This record gives sequence, C-alpha cells and structure tokens, in this order.
Amino acid sequence: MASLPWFAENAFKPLNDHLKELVFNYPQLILDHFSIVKGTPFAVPLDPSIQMLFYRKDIFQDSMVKRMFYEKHKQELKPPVIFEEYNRIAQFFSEDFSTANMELQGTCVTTGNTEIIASEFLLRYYAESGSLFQSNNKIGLDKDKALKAFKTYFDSLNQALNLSANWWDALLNLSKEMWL
Amino acid sequence: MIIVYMNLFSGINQNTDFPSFGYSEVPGGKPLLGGGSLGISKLT
Repeated sequence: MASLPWFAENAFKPLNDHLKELVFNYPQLILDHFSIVKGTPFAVPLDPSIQMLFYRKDIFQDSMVKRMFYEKHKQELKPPVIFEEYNRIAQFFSEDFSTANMELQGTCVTTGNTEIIASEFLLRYYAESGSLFQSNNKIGLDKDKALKAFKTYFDSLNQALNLSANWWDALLNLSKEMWL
Repeated sequence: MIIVYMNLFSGINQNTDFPSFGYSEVPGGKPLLGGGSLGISKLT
C-alpha cells in the first residue's frame, strides 16, 4: 500500500466502472492511501487498518488503582498521549501489580519479526515528527529524532512482556490477566 | 495496554470472557496504516 504511488501506473489497470462503484463506498482518507494515484483509482483497499491503543477499561477506571497511580506520580491515570507516559504507566503496572505468584507486565511487545519491530519504531519516530525524507528529498532518518524514538522503544521493552513470535497472534492470545 | 492494528484486535474485543476494553489514539497521534491494495495487473 505504501509503495502504490510508485508502481500503480506501470503495473495496474485503472479500475473499471464496476470496481470504481465498489471503492467509492470507502472514506476519502482510505481511498487516498489505498486506491487513488494522481486522481485515478488503481486498486481496491484490502483489509485497511490503523494502529490504535487498547487497554483494560475496568482497571483504568478502578478507583483504588487510580489513587495508587496518583500517589506515585501525582498525575491522573488516563490513556497516555505521549510515549513517555505510555512507558510510565506500563512501568507502574509491571512493578506494582506483580505478585510472588504472578509476574505481570503493563504492556506487551512482539519482537520476533523485523517488520513488526519497524512498525513499533516508526510509530515512535513519527511521534517525534520524524520523516523518511531528509534535505534534498534523500531517504533517511533524522538522527536526533531517531535516537529519541529508539530510546522510548527500548524503554518500553524493559517494561513489556517480550514475545518472540513473528506475528501479532501470540499477543492477542494472551490470557486476560496479562491484559493490563 | 497494547498498541496494535485495529483489524487484528476485533476478534478479542468480541470475546465475552474478557472485561471491557477501552481504546484511544496512539501516543504521539501519528499511527501507521496497515493493510494492502488489490489491483489488476496490466498483463492480464
């Protein structure tokens, strides 16, 4: 999908009228990324998706947990909006909710596939306003922003249950006790 | 907490054995898109 603009005109036939009718049921944002190149629809979006943050609402709304978090960090427990907060909350759950019988982690990361690792890194790199294009339109990383992104990624690995699986399935098959 | 593509999460979100889940935008507010595009080759 990301490389569609580079090869669509050379490799694909423009969609016929029947397929155009099908794709125009999608929101324009989806069409811009998954279908249209230079104003012409070349492809049908296939399983389009977007990264989101999911969390145990019952735990985040638990008054005792919220109080414990406030006592420790002097901040309200709520879904994080920056990665430093994400790591802080993960650390809170990992350190304060593990028992002698069960070690819990505040988050989980899948590390058995370079594609997934790139997905985790780029999410943090873009959060630092990083771009894959540098001066003179050369492809590359902004060094300072990339280092910040790596730091927040490595910090999260220290708080996370690291799954060596090569896809997200293992993460989604965890028991509910692991979902903090 | 986990960050994952929403289409992968839909199965577990409908599992009644699990407590209610909350969801929000990813930290930093710049999520990656996932999925693909299905086109018809010029050679067909």
